[in-house]
Amino acid sequence: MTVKVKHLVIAALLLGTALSLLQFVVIPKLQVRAAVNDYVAGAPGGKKAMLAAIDRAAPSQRLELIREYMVFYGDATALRSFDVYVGPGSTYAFGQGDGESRVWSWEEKLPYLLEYVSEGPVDSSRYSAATQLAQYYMSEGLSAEALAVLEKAEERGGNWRTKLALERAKLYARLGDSGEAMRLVERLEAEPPSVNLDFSGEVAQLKAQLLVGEGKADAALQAVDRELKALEERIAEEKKKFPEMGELTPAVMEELKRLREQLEKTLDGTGATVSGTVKRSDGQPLARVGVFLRRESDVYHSIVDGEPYQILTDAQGRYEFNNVVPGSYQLYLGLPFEQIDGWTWPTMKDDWIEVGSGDALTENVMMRPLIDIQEPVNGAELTGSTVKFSWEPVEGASTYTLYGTIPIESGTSSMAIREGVAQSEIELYAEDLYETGTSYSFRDVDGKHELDSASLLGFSNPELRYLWYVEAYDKDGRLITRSNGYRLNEDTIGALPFFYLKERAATAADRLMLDGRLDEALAEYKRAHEADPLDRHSLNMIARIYSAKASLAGSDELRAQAIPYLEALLRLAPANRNVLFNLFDHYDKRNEWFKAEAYYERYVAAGGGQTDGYIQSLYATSLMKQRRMDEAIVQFREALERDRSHRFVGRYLAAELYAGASFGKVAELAAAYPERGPYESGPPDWRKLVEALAAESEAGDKNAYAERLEDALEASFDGDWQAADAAGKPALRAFIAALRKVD
Amino acid sequence: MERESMNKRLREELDGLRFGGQEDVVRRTHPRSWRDRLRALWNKELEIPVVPLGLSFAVILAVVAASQLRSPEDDGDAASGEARQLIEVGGNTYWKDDYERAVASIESDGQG
Repeated sequence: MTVKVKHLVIAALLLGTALSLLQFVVIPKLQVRAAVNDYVAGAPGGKKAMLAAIDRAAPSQRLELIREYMVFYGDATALRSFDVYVGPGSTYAFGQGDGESRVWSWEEKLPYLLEYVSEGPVDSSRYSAATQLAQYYMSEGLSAEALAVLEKAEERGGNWRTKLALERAKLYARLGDSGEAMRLVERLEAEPPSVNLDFSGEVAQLKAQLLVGEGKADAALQAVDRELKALEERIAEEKKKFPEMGELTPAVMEELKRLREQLEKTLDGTGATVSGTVKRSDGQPLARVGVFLRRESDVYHSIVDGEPYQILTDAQGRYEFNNVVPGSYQLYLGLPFEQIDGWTWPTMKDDWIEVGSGDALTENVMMRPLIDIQEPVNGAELTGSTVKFSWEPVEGASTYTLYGTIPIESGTSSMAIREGVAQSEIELYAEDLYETGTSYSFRDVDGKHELDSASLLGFSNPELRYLWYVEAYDKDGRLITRSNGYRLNEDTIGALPFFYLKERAATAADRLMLDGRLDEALAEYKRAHEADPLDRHSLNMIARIYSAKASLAGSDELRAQAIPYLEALLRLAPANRNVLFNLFDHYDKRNEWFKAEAYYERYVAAGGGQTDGYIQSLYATSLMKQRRMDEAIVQFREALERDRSHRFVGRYLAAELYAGASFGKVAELAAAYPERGPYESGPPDWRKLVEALAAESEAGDKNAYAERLEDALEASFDGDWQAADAAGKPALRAFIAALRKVD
Repeated sequence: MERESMNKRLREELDGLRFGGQEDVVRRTHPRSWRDRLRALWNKELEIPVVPLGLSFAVILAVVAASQLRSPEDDGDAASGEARQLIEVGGNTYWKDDYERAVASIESDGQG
């Protein structure tokens, strides 16, 4: 082709323009988009890419990126930006736990947040950046800086000025300067009401806390009541203005109501302090870990802003909450992946902190390294008649509990294989393992809920890959550590806890089970059992199939069919606790007390004299139904010490009432053994229920009331709830209704 | 005859025209001043092989674009762009890729 130089030059100029457009406009845009995508997806290097994008972005976009992905990402406040939250009996990961950590370390985000507070627009994001910085400075022990950053943000004005002032008041309260805190609160109260309905409630909450700190719980209650009333009036007003808005309950209303409940219980109470350290067992303190002191009414949901006691640990891992309103609390932690990787916090499901008036409680958190498991691991195929489990011994461990995990249709199911193991190893007969009580799953076939027959095989499926883990307990039954947890790098991943049980081959009946042909399998097991009466596997499977069918159909008749097989199995395996418990339960339900009692005794003996709170409570209930009240009371009391959820306390109280204990004494017992349960509606308040009984009795003929109570309890023991309910009298009916729900 | 009369007629018709562009032609064929030389260069014709040149441009463009998109901060191991997933297995939480690698390695050990 022939071109003139001038055309060439023009073409080159055009190309140059296009390239610089690409270089300075398109590519940075693409880079930002790629960085955002990587960061949001949690791709490796996503955080790095995001930092690079922020550094290269134009000033206006820079602030936008900081706001979107540092100040506000996810639910990120300083205290809600952790990868993992751990509490008694619950661990959950932020953002479904997919992808690398998106959580910024303070080293990473500090300069950006500072920039945002001084440069950013006057809005909620700057409020959030300032409060995050304040939390950070507090964790560094820099309280003056914390107050200064809030004040600086406040000076720039805007709608968020009052919220920043409230944060500052909270800081003063935390620093023990309640005078200054109260002055700020009063200043805020004098302000015209905010459009944000929550705000004045939050001020009232802090005020109440400060008043409790001064020992003026009654004044605190009044303040809360005033605020609740004002809130209700404002809501009514809003509704009038915007009738189409429908129901509206500001979140703070719930918070205030809960606070009110707490205050009512401790009218003469004073605020308490709860403090402690978060450390690893090697002494290393965990700095800037989130610590959450959560009220009983809050633990059923994930952590939210309105919860009053949230803090970051300082460089020495210390935390302290003051002005804590007396009540029941649980401690939760927020941790980034690297702080939990390879470690566990051995908190237990029913660990409660009872905060009394004026208490100064110390609650230290000790993270422990995960237990290393030794064998069987990495998919070992076990063919011997015994199976040996072993793991690294744990210092101070008195017993271990060994758990097995079975993959089922929709996940996995775990169960204790052996409790109270004294050594860091145990050798089990494969046959005993097969007979370990396992749960089974259901599946939907053509819209019908059916038993997943393969899951009924439990540990006796030679094709299935099983898993195991172990927990270590001290002599008081406190969890020390466990083998399962976060294993996120080469050093912590350890051996994989997989094994196959190939000691036995699948029988013809087992294969029918695997094919989902349950009834044919049952017939085949029966044939095998007739051919060989010593065939434990077939007996076990027949009993399992009947029990599972019975629970699916809710049929006692089917359950009864399992009994002869269970009894035959017990003759071959006399110490099988699972079978013994099933037999106890069966005869207890049929009111065949003599047999039930015999099986329960054998059950306890088979466990070396050990029982657990749940099963002991069932036994106590059995004694109560037989009107053996003194024995029932002894068993209930022991069980309540073991099962700290106190889920059967209602029955215990019923037994005490029936045995003639005074209302006053029973109310005291109810307070000593509060029922725990993270239910939305809350577990029954047995003390209140008993006090209501007392009041009802006082109001009329006491003797007649005692008779009514006795009749109602009698009927409830016999399971005749209609008769029990017919006793009339609202408090009595409420008590009986709560008793009926005990399970 | 006829040819001569044509010639004559042409002469008559062009009689009024005089060629006065000699200087311009000379300037173009033998440029002296800077201006003339620049103009000559500006209008110079070049013979360009279209396909090889176009291709090389495309290659350069692609290389530049690619190098820009993968900034130097991204080191090699982070180039996948895929999100890492957590996976929970029997109470343990692993990175899915780590876990799958570990499983693959024990399975190959088992066969080997």
